[in-house]
Amino acid sequence: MKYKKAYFLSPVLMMVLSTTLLFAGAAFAVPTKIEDRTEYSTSLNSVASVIMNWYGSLITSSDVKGGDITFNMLNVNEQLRNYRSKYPQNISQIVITSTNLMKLSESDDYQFKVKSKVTYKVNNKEHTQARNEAFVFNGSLLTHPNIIPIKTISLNNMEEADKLETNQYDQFHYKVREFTYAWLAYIDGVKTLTSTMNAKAWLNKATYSLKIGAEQVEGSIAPTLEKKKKLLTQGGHLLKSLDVKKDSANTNIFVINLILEWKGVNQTGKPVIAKIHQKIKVKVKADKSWEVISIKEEHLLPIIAPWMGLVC
Amino acid sequence: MLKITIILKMLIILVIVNSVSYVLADNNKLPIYSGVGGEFTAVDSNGKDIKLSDYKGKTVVLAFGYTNCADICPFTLGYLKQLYKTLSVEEQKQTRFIFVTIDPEYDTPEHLKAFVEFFNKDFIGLSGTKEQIEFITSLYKAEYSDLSEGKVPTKDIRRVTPQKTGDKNEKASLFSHTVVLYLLDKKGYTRSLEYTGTPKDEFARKIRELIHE
Repeated sequence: MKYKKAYFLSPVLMMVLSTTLLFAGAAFAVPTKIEDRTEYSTSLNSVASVIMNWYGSLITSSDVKGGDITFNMLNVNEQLRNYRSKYPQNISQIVITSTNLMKLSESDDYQFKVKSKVTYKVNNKEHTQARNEAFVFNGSLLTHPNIIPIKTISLNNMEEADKLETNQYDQFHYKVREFTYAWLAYIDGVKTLTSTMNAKAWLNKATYSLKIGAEQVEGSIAPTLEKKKKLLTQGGHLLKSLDVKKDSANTNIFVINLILEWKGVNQTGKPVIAKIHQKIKVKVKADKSWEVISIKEEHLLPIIAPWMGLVC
Repeated sequence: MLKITIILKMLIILVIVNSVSYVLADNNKLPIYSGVGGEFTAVDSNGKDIKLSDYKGKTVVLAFGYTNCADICPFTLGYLKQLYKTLSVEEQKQTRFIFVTIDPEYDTPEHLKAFVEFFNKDFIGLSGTKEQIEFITSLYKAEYSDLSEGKVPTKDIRRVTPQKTGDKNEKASLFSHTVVLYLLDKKGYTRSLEYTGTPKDEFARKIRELIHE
């Protein structure tokens, strides 16, 4: 009888145990989830900055606006140099239609899949090509400045596509995003992409003002980031929208408006959510290099539900 | 022996389940909305100068509106009255329901007091100078705008409490304003954004979570 009772109990115990293990799995994932957010945002922003450089530098057609923009060529290996020849000549724009970032389980490397549409001309006739490519990024990209960031690229598929009804995905589009993603990686602690941002020219000169509720801080970038870290301690920034406007008074100055989402924890380990507006004023110097003049950051009301837009 | 094994297993499971639910609960904490809110000064319905930090240690439900609001403000305060009732007496003591006017020109502390106390005597109305109110609404990103080109006679407005004066020619502005209800923790951080569509039990659960933090 005792045996039977124990026998009856054991499936119940097993059920509880398996439920527990499931929850335990979820519970185990909790502390790493925040770290995941940090890793996800830093790796995504770093990888995206390099990707913007890669695609931006492929746009070589002389009849597109922004044709005078230059990209610092990536540190590449022979496979990548050879791979560049697989793209058509005279590319006038590239539209990235989808991306997917994954961490490779067998190493610290990242795989970034990119679907794109490439517009190019042959004998003055415009063509569009749809490409499906997979990049493998060296995981050390986040910590080592001089490594070759892209390890391999593979072309999974390539086919003719319908003509694109847009012409805004030019070199400037990629240059702004190359800078922006490097900046986002930087403010989350990745210091390896400073040359991408031409940081030497402005990092210690530009002003950074921060408005978080009643708190207001203004100074140079490093101390302002330190103060921000006290409120938003561990987490990461993700880009939600980007808009660029020319300064009305100065033709060589433009303003990048970013809407960012930050999720993470504060100093006491409490979860924090922020919707951030950053306004970055950039000067294009005579040699075409960029110099950030100022960064203004304000934390906004996150729109968490459709009713939040209602006013009565 | 078998009994001891079963009891031991049960104890282990209990410990694991308890620790798991603790971790899960911790993960489900209401987040702080960075940059939404902060320290401010105002005048309460008794005419006393206050700071938000005066309510430190209390959970706060914060709403914006004005006494000449014909529809949404009486509806919101009616909802808050019901919400307040769902809390125990002890929980009510740990909570402050605050209604900030967006029309300080018309809503004097005394007038505001009559309006909020019509719904519940414990409710607090906050007024102040135009600058103080503009600062508070900017902190909470509480949108509002003056709807009336010039002012309208207050006698024509449907209302739950009398006009401020008995003057038939009394006039005031009409506003559109946010419907967001802000739930603040004991340190004054905004921890949840709600509205009158939030089920009261769900809202009360969040208030309790912050009371017991």
